[in-house]
Amino acid sequence: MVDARFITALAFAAAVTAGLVVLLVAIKLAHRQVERYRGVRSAHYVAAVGEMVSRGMLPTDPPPAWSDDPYFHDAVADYKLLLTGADRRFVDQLVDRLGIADNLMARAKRRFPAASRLRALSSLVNLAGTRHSEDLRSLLADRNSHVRVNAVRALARLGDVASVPRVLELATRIKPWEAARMADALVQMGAVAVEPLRQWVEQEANRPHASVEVVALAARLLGLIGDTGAEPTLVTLLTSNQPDWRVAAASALEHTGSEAAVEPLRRALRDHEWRVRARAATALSGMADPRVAGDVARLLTDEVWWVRQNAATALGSIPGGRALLVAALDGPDRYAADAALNQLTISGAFGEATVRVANGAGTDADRLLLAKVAGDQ
Amino acid sequence: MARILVADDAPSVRLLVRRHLQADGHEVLEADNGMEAYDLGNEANIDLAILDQLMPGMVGTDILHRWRKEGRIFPVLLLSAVDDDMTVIQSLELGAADYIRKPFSMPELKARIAPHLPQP
Repeated sequence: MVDARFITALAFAAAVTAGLVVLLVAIKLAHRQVERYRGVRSAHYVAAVGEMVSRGMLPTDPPPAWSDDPYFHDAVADYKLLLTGADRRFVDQLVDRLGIADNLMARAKRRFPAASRLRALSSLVNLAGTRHSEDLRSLLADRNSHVRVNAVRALARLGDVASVPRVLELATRIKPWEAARMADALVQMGAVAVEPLRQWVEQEANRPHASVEVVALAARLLGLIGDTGAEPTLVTLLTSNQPDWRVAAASALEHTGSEAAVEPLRRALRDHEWRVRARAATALSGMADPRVAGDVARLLTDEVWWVRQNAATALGSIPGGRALLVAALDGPDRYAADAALNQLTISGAFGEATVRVANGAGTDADRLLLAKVAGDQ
Repeated sequence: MARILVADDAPSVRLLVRRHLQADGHEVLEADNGMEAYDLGNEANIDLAILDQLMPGMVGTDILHRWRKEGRIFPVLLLSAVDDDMTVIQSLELGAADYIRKPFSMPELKARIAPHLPQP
């Protein structure tokens, strides 16, 4: 005999399940309708803005909803990012005429709701004008990390060099992920950011309690931007007492270094910190100066595997370096021979030597290389 | 008047280019993905194609490669946000008439198209 209470409980559970299923289906259908409505609205806005841009005509009496609608903002930003020259200036005029950026700025400066603020700020990244710079800078002090990151992205897009030191100061107090996002934005700013970055690095590096991580980060940014104007600062940093700064400077000089950086980098090959030696070897590989080949080849016998490997890779690019790699094959140091053999194999030197030997044009170095590879196998 | 194919997954690009080209008296066909662009190039007897490099279905250089392999020799311009020298070189080696980087300006795009259009 089945307990009546059990049947009641079962019926109740079935009813609740059915109710939940109906509710979920209703939510899904409603969501689909909302998405469809949004898609249609987006398509209308893309068409409307496209018409205005292609005709070069600003609306005399635009619907007030346009300046508040995030889908309209997306459509305008889409065209702004797509176009240059007079067409882009027209889009800027449209943004001004409709007061879009002012509305977005007002929304971004409110305390709540957070989602609306973030939506406004992500649109402002593309639509803000220079007159919003001060407001955007004030948002660097916001409590919400995403607001701060988007404010930096907007400032970077505007090329606001005055904000660079403030962003770096901020980077000393925030979490690494946030600092990394801000750093990406500063790199996007390009060459205009070099001077404020350089000044900040020089100033900060001389402070007694400077932030090790952020100075290193700023040095790496100078490298990523790749402007030779940063070179004197990076060369100075290459001789600092802080190993992380020397590593960052050597890495950055790989991208910005001119002939003037060769000598400081050559000295850095003897740095007591292995990361600096490894980075300096890599940096010198891009400069293709045959005078450094011998110094780099000495690192084939370095005690640290990474240094030997970077030195071998660098010798693959430095004029005269390949001959030194072949010579290392027959040298007394087993580690140097391994690193050299590895580099000669992956750089294609082995293939070229094979062809020359097969054609009867092989040199002693070619035969040595083939013999060493055969011995290794 | 020429028959021009504009293939780009971004509706904003298609709309803008179409409006400008139609204003100059050209007939414009549109595709929002690589497969559709490839088929239109095969079937629609076009005089010139403007292809986005990164499209769903098939990328611009693949479409160009297949058309050239099949003997279709109408001029093809690639219009793309891919700012990578290797892609540009590859496109030109495959026979692209030009490679235009986004962002672009419409007067520039029209000026680059003009020499490749059939003369009246």
